[in-house]
Amino acid sequence: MKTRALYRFSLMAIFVILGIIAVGFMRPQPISSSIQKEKFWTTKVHSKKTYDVVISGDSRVYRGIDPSKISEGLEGLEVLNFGFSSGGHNPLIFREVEKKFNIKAKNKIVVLALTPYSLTPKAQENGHFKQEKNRDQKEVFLRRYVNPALNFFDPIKPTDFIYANDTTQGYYEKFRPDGWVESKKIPFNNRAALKSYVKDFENNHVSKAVVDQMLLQVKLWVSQGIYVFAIRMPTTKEMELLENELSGYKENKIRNDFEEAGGRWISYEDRYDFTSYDGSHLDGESAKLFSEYIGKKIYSLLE
Amino acid sequence: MPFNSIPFLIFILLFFLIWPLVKRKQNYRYVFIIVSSFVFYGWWDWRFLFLILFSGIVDFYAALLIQKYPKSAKLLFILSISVNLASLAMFKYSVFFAEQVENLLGFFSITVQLKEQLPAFTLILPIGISFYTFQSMSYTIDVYRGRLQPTKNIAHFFSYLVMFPQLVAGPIVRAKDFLNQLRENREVSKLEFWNGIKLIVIGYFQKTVLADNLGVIVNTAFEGVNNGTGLYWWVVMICFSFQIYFDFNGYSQIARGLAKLMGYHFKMNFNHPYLATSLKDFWSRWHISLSTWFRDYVYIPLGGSKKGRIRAHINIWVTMFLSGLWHGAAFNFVLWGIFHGFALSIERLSKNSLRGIQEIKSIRWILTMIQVLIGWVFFRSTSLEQISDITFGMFTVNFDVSFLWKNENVFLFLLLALVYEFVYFLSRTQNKVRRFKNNATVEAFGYSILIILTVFFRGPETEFIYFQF
Repeated sequence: MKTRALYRFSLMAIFVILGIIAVGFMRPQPISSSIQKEKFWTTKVHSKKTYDVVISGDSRVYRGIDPSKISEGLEGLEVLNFGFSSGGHNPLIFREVEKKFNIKAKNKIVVLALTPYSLTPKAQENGHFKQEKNRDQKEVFLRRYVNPALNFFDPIKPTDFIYANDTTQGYYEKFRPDGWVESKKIPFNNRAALKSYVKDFENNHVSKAVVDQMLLQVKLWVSQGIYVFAIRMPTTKEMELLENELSGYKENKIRNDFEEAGGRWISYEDRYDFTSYDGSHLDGESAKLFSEYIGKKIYSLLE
Repeated sequence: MPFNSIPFLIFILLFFLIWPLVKRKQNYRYVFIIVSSFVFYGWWDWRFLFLILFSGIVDFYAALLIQKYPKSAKLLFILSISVNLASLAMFKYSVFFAEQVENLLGFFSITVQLKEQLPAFTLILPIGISFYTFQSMSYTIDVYRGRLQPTKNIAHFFSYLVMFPQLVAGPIVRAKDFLNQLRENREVSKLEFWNGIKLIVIGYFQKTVLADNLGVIVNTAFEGVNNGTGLYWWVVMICFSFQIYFDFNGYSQIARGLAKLMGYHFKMNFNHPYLATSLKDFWSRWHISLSTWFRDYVYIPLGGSKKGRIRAHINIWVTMFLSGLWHGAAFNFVLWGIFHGFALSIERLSKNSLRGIQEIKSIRWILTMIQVLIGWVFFRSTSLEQISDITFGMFTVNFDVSFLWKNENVFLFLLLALVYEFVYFLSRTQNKVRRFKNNATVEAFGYSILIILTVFFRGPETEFIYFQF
């Protein structure tokens, strides 16, 4: 029996090794890897890497701006997408943006994505950012260095095997090291987010205090020689109308005030030509196109 | 440090690298177990190690003094039990009791702010406090009753009390079963090694594949998102019943497996409770180490069933009430205990009157499972309102099955859980299946499948449910 016990153990070990290799290589890739997602967010917050250009904002930024495309337009400057879910513009984030700058950079550039929600009091909680910032150091280490080494073992769902070839429902996400999440969603529904935004703006409107504080920061950065740009991220026409109606966002006024503070507003034509998979965020292809445009635009404004 | 974490995998690897070097010498062995267990526990919050130390020191010396001064034994015994209960009351129940007093006085329009007066540390529940406190208490009780010789070696006692595999979520190991095992340098046979590995594999599979995946629909349902009624709630509660069983049994199996690899033996903590055909049977299969603890230290000392019929029922109620309270300082746990107490009483009373129905095993099984499922509603709910909503939902006629298509993955795991238990049932009742399962190649292949499923099909990582108790 003793030898049989060892025989069974050895046989099991062989089966396990063969099985893991077989499943590991044949498995469908998860539409959104939880391990990569954890690494992505902890790296975005805790990495010591510095950049020439930092783009700050909410989920429309981290899903809708591809820093590599901006970098192409800016002759290879290092660009970071520093967007967070429900992210707001306030001193907490401004200080973090400053830490991300390469002190030796010739041109330091900040791009603020001034979406209506990002200027509301609720967005100033910056819950997503704080959650990552306050994460236990042991956990940060595991997420950044240990877990990714085990990416091969990323969990899969039975339906990933059943429904292959882009038919699985859910969020498709690719996490890029420069802070961009290339995204799309199945099923495609460019009205899906409208309902939740109506709720988001209930008793939560663009705040004058938040805008004034942001403008003060713009003045300060400009006085320090930092180039500050702003954009209103593209979305669907319906969403833009809804936001204009419910959020109290006055684009022209904000733009004028921003420019008076020394910032430069990036405007673009054909604002509804981009594709949003949920009525709020740009899909991967549109993000690339939009980012390419932003890169070129910043370059032309700097000249 | 949870078993389903990378730090634990590193910890256990280091532990078993050093263990063969230290286990031959008794005191080295004790100290190594204590230090490792303190690292294991302190990984969560090292400050609460002082609580275990305090509780352990009190019981260790109380037991020695009980033996040395038999005339004062009762006083020493009461003192030791009081310290343990006070520690539990302070860390686990103080907030709950304060709230109840506030509510009671509020009923008479007297406003008091007791909860705010409590020290901050009472707001944190030390992991595993109920487990190690009961373990420590059983030691003094057994010494007081003359059923156990106290150990004179404090390291020996602490290696029993804090042994990491069972420190935070059981099984509750009795000193009379374990102190002697610890004394010896036990060689692990090849068969024990293989059995230990099998237990660990089963444990991880049950926790990470079955419990964690089934928990997805349970959590959504109890958060109140897109809830249905009727069949929906029955399915959710079946998922929860498997979730809690595989979560807790998974932990117990890993603990038993680790102990086996060290050369020790922990008793079985679960014996396929959902095959029970009566509630009494269920309680002899569910969390056995706790059920027998309450039986030996509460139910029997109260008189058990030997002091008349009415007293027997009262003893059941008291025991089940305390068992509910042990699980958590909240009304839902207390109600869960009371529900089971009364259901056990009804089962006892109807034993003779419903003999015809009772003889059909499948009907007995269905009735038992319905009671268990309703009981789990009390256990999992977070408010009286939720209990009433879900119970009402369960008894609303609605056979809509559309929710199944939105939760395909969960139902595949539910199917897997059912198949897993059914295979066990078949192997118990069918010789052919048993022989097939015991075939060396089939067994090795079966366990390799469990490992592969654990690696690739693990659910969203969650803490073991019983950590909170």
